[in-house]
Amino acid sequence: MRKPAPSATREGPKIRAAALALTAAAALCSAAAFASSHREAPFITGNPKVDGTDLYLFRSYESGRQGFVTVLANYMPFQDPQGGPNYFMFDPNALYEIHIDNNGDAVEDLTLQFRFDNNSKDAALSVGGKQTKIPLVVSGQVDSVNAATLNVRETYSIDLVRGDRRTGTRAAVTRGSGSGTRFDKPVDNIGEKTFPDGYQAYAAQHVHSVTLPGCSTPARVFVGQRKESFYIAVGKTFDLFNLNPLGPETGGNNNDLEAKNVSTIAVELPIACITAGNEPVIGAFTTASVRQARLVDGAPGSGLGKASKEGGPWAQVSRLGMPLVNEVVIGLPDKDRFNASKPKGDGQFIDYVTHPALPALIESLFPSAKAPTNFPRTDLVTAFLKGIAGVNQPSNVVASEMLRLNTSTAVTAPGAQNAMGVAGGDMAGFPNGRRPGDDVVDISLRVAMGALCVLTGENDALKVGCKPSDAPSGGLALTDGVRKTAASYGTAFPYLTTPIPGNFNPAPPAGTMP
Amino acid sequence: MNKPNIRVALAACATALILAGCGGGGGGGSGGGGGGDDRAASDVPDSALRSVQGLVDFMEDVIASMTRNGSEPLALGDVTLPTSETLEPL
Repeated sequence: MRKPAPSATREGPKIRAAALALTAAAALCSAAAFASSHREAPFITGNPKVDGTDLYLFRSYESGRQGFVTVLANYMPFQDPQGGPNYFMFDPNALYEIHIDNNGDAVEDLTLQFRFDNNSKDAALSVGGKQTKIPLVVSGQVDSVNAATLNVRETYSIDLVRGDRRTGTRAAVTRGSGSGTRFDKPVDNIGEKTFPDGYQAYAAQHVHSVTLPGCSTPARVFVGQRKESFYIAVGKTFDLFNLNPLGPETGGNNNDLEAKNVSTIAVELPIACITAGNEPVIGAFTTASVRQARLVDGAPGSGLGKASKEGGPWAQVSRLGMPLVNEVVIGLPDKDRFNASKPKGDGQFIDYVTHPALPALIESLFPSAKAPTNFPRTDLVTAFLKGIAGVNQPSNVVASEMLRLNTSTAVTAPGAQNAMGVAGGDMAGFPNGRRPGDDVVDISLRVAMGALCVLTGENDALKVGCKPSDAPSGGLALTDGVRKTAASYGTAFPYLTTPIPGNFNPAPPAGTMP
Repeated sequence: MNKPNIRVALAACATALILAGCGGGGGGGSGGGGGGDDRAASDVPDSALRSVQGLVDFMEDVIASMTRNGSEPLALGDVTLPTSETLEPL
């Protein structure tokens, strides 16, 4: 399994020649562009704790860490910071997974499984001679891991499965310093008074060095609340594109997720331990599963986790690879099906790619913005299901939807990153993996409307099966008017920033009663 | 199936339950008590606790035959439902 770590400066010989084709891979995002995957399917809206919202996959750009890949798996969308008293713990009855396909066959080769445990300490106060249990998750200020003042200790375990996620070989991920297999998660950012040393310092104590079975290089793990990293004018977008799609890319509209938090599972993995043979490209996707059977207890006992009993096999209810697929590619009746599906079965959704609804919707709303006319949309199929040849396409790829990263592509330093990714000449950006600052919304909008057909030229240099005349609007600088850069995020693991504190008390929106 | 005093509680995971119709095996409540004092009493039959298939069969039966307004939830007691780390959804 082990390979020498790739050079930080090595690049595929055909990458530059195929640079323009990145938009083809972005084609997946073309359909997938809008709110990544927040409450995107009917069933998952009722199960927010297992709602995967975003997946980031990139070669680490923290100084000295270029031999590693960072994977950020976000769950639980639209978190208001004030959401106490329980805040946003992970579900102890769920299975959260990060899957890696390192040979392009559409089947996971490695899976990291996260299981959570939320243990109440039954903190009580002596009140008039009686011990009365407190109603809060903390009984005082918190400044350390598993502080005595924490009323609920949140911990998790990690298993690494090689092969099929259910039938493969499973082994525990252990602490780097010993044999422990449980890791503490920091309590969410309740507020500034709760954390006298600041939440950032408190949360940083929960970055764990870990040993992956079969890997001699330590990895790193952090699980905890972060500030929501996705950016988009989501309300205006879903309001029948109630915005100027040709307006300013930056500052044109407000980011509707700016005042939200999210829950993140962050891992940093040695490239040598997750790639196979001479194949530098990995595909990744995240899932969440719940037990197939649940009985709700009509008379639950005292304590956490008593309201229901779960049993049966794991049933997958959330799936996320490239951003925004289930959001705006998959039709409404099939969104729950997609969330339960596996990449190897993606042929069942092919019509959504070859005959996408989004461009037609845009044209219906903006008649002058003509949708591409090349059907089937081979430009979207090529990049959406395979990656771009010479950029992030595995040698023996089997068509399937997942986020693909070429681990041999040189890292772009944060200050030099282009939010338009490969389309902006930044080969380390989306769709070659995905970094927090990459503007997947704008990239996806443009590819949906045929940017790839324009880029490939009359001779179809990129071999995507279309030409400029197929996409009259393919050259438009479509945007939702919201743009961030790498400067909005951290430059070290786990890259996503400190969550907004719960004592955040914003003024009410204009026109509402105070 | 004889469930004279069964109280029904429907699970929230209906879409995850691949139901092929009422299977056999499930049901047959223990005649569960209605009092909240006896936490050990359970309406979940042994057949649902011995195997994942038995559990799913029981759940199918509950959904098919006990979904009605006015029913009371099943008493769950202290039972532990069977799980599987390797099976695909049934």
